[in-house]
Amino acid sequence: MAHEHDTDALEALARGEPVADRAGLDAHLAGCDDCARELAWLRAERRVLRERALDEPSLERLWGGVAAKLPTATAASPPPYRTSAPLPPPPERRPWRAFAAGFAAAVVLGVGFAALTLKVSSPAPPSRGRVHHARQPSRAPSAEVALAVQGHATLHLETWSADVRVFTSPTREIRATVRGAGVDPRLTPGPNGRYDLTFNGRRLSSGEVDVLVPRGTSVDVSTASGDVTMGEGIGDVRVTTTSGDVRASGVRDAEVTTASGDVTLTSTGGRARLRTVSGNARITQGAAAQAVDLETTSGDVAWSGACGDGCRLGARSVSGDVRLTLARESGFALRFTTVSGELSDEVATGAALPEGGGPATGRYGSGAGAVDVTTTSGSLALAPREADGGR
Amino acid sequence: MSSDAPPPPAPVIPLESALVERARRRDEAAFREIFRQHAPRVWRFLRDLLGTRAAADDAAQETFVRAHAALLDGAPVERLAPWLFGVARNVSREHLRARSRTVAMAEPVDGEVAACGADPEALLAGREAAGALAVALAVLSHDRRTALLLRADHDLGYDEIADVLGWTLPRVKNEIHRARLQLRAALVEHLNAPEGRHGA
Repeated sequence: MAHEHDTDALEALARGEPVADRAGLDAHLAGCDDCARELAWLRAERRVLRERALDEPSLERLWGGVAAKLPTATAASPPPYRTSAPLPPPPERRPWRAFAAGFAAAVVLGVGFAALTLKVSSPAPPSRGRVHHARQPSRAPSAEVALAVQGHATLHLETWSADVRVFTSPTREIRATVRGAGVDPRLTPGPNGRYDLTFNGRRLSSGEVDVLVPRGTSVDVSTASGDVTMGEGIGDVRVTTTSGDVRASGVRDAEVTTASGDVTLTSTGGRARLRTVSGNARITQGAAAQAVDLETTSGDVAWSGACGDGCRLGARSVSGDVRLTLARESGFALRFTTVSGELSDEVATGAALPEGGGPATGRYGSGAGAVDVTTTSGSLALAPREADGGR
Repeated sequence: MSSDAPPPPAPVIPLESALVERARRRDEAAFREIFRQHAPRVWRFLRDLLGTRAAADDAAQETFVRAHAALLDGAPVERLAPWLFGVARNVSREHLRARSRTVAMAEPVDGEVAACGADPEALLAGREAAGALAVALAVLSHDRRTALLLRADHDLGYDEIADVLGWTLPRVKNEIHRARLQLRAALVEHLNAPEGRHGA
């Protein structure tokens, strides 16, 4: 244990703050193993705490809950709020669900994107999209770009905190609309069907980006806190966020990496890869699983699908719980390794954690697939998918 | 990908005392600015006290609603961060009482014995360290965890922590010292555990 009189100085040193008599302290540390170890602990403790600080909440969502409970300015209430000009405007809750629903419905009904976005007067030149500006009656100023594409396309874009929504359209063009950011979007074709959507060389710190792509287009999106939403018919998707939430439905294969964003994937193809630190994830695999790779630190992960012949499902967790909801046609060998997690086996694989340590192993159905789960303190739950009537 | 543009410039931050005074006068933008500046830390503090992001969401919102009401009532605020942490701490205690259970996930261990000889840098070098820390924090009592987090994660001074918790200065130092020993022991036990489940 460190000498009591050194604690404050060691803490300051660990924080990188100046300390009085640094030379004397260094000399003391050189001859005091306990103090040197204490300093090492303090530094390690601080580093890990700083890493955990990357997990951030959605301030917009939190503020929505706070603002809803604050006293409103009414005639009966005390003097109303006044707004000071120099401060930033209030964050608004973004009606992405309503927009997405309307957008998808328009496409399905054949009304098409033309009714929802601005009209492009002529086909875009092959080298660069054309930009149109307009001020819509009830929305922030927007700018739009469209570009015809040939063959399979992969769309790339990055934002800081602007939300990104990508849906499919029946045309062979990529059309992007940016709202509330005051920038012109640009679509630049690259080799091998790559298209980069950029914004005057900036990563957007505000606003919204809506993109329509041909069916089957692969999409690669990166944001810091912006939410990402993708709709039916998109090809392979790769999404990286720090704290933005990710929602995708009906996409092909998915690879999602997030620190604290929540992830919801439904009706995905046979391959899914997830990396999360503290965000929770829910994945419903539409096709029979082929390769599923799930990794979490403290976020809970729920996966649902069929894991049978040729399926390789791996999950690694520190403290997050893993729940696998299995279709009746599944058949796999199970291996579960944990330090202190629990096993709940509602599908009767026969697995049980040995009292003396070591992995739990079991088998379900044909045993042709493989499920391998490793946790530190996270628990594993295996459950039958209700639609299959259990087993 | 394509853009190497720098992040947007940091906004000009109004003086804290001016913000407080404006918030007292029902200036919504001022209170929103207070929220913007402090909500991430308050939320993280509550996440570490309550154990889940969802609980932290609820408690953080409640914290700022109460803080707003207190400002309108003229509550004395010397410095915002310690004051908000104090409100958050009270909210977290009520949340835990409402849950009717403790968030502790492990039995306390003997810190000084278990942590002796461990190499902290090597122990906490892996990517599982952050998760292990969350588990180890849960070993601590609510008050002890509160004191340690305020000091180690949120950089409050011992005197400020004494004000937040209503403790004497010696008690603050003693509790933080013991919290660290207990935390380290839990980390050692957790991260040094052999692969596979502990025996019964």
